[in-house]
Amino acid sequence: MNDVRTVDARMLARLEQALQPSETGARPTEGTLASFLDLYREHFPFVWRTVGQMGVDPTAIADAVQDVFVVVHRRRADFEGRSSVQTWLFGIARRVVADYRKAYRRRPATPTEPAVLDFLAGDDDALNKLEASDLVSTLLDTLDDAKREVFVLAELEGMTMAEIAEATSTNPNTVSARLRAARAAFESALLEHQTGEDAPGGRQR
Amino acid sequence: MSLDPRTRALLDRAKGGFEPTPHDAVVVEAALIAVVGATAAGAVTGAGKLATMGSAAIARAMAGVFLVSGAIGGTLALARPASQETKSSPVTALSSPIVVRLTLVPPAPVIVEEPGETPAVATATARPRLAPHAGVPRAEPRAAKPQDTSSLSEELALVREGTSRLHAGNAVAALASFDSHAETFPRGLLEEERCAGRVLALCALGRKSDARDQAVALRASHPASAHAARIRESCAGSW
Repeated sequence: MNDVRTVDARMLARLEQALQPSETGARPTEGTLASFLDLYREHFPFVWRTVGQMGVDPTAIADAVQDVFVVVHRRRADFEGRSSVQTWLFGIARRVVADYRKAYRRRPATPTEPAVLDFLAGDDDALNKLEASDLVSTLLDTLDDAKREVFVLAELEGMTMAEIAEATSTNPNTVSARLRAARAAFESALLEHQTGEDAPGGRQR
Repeated sequence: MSLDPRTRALLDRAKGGFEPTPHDAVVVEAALIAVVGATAAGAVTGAGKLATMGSAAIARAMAGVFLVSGAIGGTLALARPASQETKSSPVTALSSPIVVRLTLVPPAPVIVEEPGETPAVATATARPRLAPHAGVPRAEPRAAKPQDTSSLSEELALVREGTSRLHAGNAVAALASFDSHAETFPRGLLEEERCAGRVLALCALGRKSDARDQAVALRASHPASAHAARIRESCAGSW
């Protein structure tokens, strides 16, 4: 359940920090901060997308993404020697997401069902991007976390099995098995969504 | 197994809906800089450039806080007197963020957002500020550029005036303030706050249909708006 007051209190606290004089010695050096901001700007879209795709409510994504990068800033030294920044970032993001989803799980928001049926029947214009992402989010909610993250990284982010294995701290064989199961579960959820509409008494728009 | 082609098409269509807006990138960056200790009111400026986008983002986010906190009661007002909608002038309340020098952030380039299709996944090297808005169709191309501090203060004054009037129960006057902001700053940094305020004011006036239209427009332009929960609870209904 979202608590607007909590969200805004958090943002307010952070912004008020911005108004305080910096403590001597607490400020990063210019070079350090500049490289961190470069990293942020390059990978912000990826972190934002995956945080949302993993089920954090849209109103809490900004806070969650910020928390991810605060951890990133603190742990930059841990990145040394790794092959991919994104897999490292996702490893951090998935832990932040787990915390956020307890408080800020996405509210179900599905597009009108006739539009979904029209889209699945071949009408590409029946769903706009937001409606499509709402529907995909609803279907992703039916997957368990292990399947969901593999599905998101493979099907929405285009990562390879090896990259996903690194991002989720598992091995490629396990990733392959989870992806197969996740695809089946996603297709099944979509089918259920459709048939639920077709059946008498199904959801109405 | 591989995915059904229509499922694949659904996923491809959905990708854009998960993308952040340039505004999201700027607001998170501003707050992030604050948290990692890089706010540098007294820092050496090097070229002496004032990165107004960063400070504007802070001001903008704070205006958002004012709008929502004022609408939900006194909790935050007690925590931060400046958030009370009364005496402190906007300029005074925001004098600090406006002069914050984000010396390590170059002035933000002009953001040009083109409607229509964009690559579903942003390239790894894309800068959020420059990335085309992939998630939401807009009525027309939108351009935003760094504002000087005076126009930002004017924007803030209008939006705060509107929210203050709204919370005082004068929805007609509030709407006038928001309309004034819309006329003067149609693509201002506080556009999101103005739209959210208009929804609430229209609800207060019983103009449910207009409120819903405004909410739809707000959602289209700011799908992850911090005001979503407030709008959802308003007469405009769903977000």
